[in-house]
Amino acid sequence: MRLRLAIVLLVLAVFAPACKANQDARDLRNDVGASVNQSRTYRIRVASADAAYIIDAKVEDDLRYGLELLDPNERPLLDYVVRDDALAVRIRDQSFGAKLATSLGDPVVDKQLRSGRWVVDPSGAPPLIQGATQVTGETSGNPLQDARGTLQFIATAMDQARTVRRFSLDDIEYRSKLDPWRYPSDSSGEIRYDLLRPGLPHSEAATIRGASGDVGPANFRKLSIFVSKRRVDEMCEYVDILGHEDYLALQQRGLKSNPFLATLFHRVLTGDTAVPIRTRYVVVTIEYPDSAAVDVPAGASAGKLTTFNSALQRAVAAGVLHPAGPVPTSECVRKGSPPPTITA
Amino acid sequence: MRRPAVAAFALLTLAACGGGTEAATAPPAASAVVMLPSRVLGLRVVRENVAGEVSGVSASYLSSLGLFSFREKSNLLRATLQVGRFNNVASPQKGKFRDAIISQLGATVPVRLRVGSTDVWLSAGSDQAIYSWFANDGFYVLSVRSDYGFQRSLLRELMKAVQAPA
Repeated sequence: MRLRLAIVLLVLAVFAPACKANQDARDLRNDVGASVNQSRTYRIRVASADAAYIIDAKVEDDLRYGLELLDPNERPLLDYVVRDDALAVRIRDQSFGAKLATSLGDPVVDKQLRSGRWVVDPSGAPPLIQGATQVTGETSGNPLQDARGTLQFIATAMDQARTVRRFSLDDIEYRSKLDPWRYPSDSSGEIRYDLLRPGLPHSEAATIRGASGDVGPANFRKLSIFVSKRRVDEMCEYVDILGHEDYLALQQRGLKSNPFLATLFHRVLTGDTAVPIRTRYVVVTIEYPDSAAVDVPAGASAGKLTTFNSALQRAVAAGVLHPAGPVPTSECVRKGSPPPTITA
Repeated sequence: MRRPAVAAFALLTLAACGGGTEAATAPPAASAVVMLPSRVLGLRVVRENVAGEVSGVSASYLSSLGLFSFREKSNLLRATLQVGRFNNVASPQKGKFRDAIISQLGATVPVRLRVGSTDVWLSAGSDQAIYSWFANDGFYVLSVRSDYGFQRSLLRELMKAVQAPA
């Protein structure tokens, strides 16, 4: 009888955490789904070696949204409004406009944009379906496009995570030393979900052959989602290579202690992985106002924005948003925890 | 442009065939009652005759169906809207039922969009975008030429029009 009871308890002990983890993932997925269905405003702060910027966004629905691009010190650079088929753009900072291209469209469009006025392209809205290749990486290379898909990114990251777990200080696996993020607010009943990273292979035998089996940003991602009243109110992400526990252990024990892991980290740090892995800090804070109506500003002059769009895309790829100096990375960080470090 | 319309109707009728005996006793579909303006975004709206397409179909989840075309002044066809009203055999409020229909539209995996407070699924066909949504016990499929620059405005206008009381 005792043996039977012990077996039952053992089975319960083995399966209970697994069921809980699945339930946490289901709960988070439901909360993300509920959040996507609502009009919202949000601020995204991004800092990486390639680009540092802020985007203030307002989303009425998937066809109507407004984005304001700012530099890391909150200086407005660009306004970008999509309303159904129409796209309206205004350059707020002329030194930023000068860096985009020598011409931003036909002479009228170019003049309007360079004088800080609105231009509307009645059928210039970006495509609704992006190419499959653009969703595999951490970023599409277009900050405006990335900003549009912030909540959808959570779903992608969940698919890439080892598991989703509701944060608890009672969690025996939790290691505060490796966690930069704030604890959930007790007073507001906020819940924090952590997307736990898949482990790194420690030997050749543990690797999966082929490009799709290579390590990627998900292996280094510290991502926590904060939910209040069944809606996502903050997302904090740090793709942390140099703070990875295996990297720290390797540094401590010496590269010769695990030549396989040393080679792996060398590949990661030199960008020699199937999907490049870059240190990256992203914090998104979301609010859900009763109304988030988005309109094309009155008085905007009509013109084609195709040239502007490609100029912006090229300029971003060429580093127009490259951080000029140290970038603030203290938002969402727990008191006493060192803020994420962005390295080139 | 007419092909996806037929495909959607076929889906609903085939689904009924596989769905059990109840659907097999459903009466044949009649012409759908939808009030659309005579012009939308400058496009001429014409109700097309689909009697030939659905003749001989006896098992269906639809009580009525209709097809509308949207043409330029030059008579160039820009878009079509299929309207299907569900009968009491169908269960459009069930996610599984909806998914079964949506998943088979177009050549790409449908992407869910929120337009106003309605879920719209977007997929791509050959040189066309296919928007579909459920509302008022009905199923709507808007197929638009991919080179038409005002797809989303047309979608928004039609969603408003079909929501309005007849």
